[in-house]
Amino acid sequence: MNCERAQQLLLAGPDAALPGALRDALQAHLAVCPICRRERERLAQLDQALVDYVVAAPSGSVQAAKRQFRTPQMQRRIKVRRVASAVGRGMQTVTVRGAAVLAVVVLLISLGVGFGLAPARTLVQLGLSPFAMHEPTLPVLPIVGDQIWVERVSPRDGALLQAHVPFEVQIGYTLVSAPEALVSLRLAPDTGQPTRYFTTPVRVAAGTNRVSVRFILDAARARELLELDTVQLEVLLRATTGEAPMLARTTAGRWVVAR
Amino acid sequence: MLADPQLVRWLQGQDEAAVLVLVDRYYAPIGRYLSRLLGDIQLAEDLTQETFLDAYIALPRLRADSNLSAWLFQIATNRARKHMRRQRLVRWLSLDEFMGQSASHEEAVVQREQVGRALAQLPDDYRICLLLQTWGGLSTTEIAQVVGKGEAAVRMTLVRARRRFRTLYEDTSA
Repeated sequence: MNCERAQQLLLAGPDAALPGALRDALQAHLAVCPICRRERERLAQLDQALVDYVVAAPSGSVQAAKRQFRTPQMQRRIKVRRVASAVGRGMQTVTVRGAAVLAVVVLLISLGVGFGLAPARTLVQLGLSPFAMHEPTLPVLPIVGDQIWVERVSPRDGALLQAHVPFEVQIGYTLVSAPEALVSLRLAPDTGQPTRYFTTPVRVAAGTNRVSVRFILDAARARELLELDTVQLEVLLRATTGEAPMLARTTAGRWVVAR
Repeated sequence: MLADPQLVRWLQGQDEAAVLVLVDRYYAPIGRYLSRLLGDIQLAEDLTQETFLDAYIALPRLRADSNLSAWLFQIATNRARKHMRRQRLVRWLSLDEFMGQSASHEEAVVQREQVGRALAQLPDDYRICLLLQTWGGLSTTEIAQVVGKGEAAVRMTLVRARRRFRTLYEDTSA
């Protein structure tokens, strides 16, 4: 085997399931060729860089996901999806595929109504002028959630931490369009340390009246949070496009910092 | 800790406690995979939740010999591909989303940014295969099942993907 062939095989990755003879030939070549061994090391470093990049990605709160799985809303969704899935499988025998899709859509809509989903109300129906809205007229809304949690991102790098501040805001009306918004977060530690402000962009889906946001704080701030038991938190949601300049504001609540 | 084959048997009984163990074990790996595949944290979180919802619904069809990890990555990949087809626009994370890592991590942050930029420029199929292999730990055979291609085709995709990724990564590092 020559170097060109060996290096092409290496590009397929460490577990490329090569046929036995090819794998043996590659191993034999690597045993005698320092250039290809270096190439293998470089590719391993490249793979490691990719893994490190994925490790650094936020993954969402497992605990929150588990809690959410138990909520009545999620159980309703599971029921609806199970019915739709069963109907979908039954419909596969029907030759007119479009009719099946239509039937599932109709079923889903009727189930949605049947389960008592709130009918959509627009700003206008609520007697609110989207463009006249400003901060003092906003209803002050509670934050849904009770914990800020700090995640150790990488098992290999104990110092790398990210603090996640997940929360949901019930806006109080259903959005007609899908605005881009900015969420501002005010964190005031109880210990007399200075208040910190963070702002992050968020997309708000049309047809929703809840916004779920996750702030990712850097390692230094995550470590600061770890020193605290509780923090004061206030959230302001401002639309930068769409129907309303200001969407929601919350009370300043006290949150527990989870470790 | 319960091994995956035992968990599969438990899941076949559609026990909610088993699903919570599944979430415990795989929510973070799947979430990170989708986050880097799609380049959008919020969307990745939504699709991770959808993945586990799909998995829950699909439990009656889970076979006893199923590889749990490959099964979940397949569901997540299908979800992501559906979204990619619908919306070709992929938003990639900027450094701002890490909101100023401390100086001691500067080098790692720069490297991550270079990896992110290189990954963002890969075609969807290349990105999926590379991430499933390096992050998901899936074999070529399992990746072939996830993406619906033959093993030889997957090997060729991996060769091309890694070559392209390396060129892009070295270009951004230069």
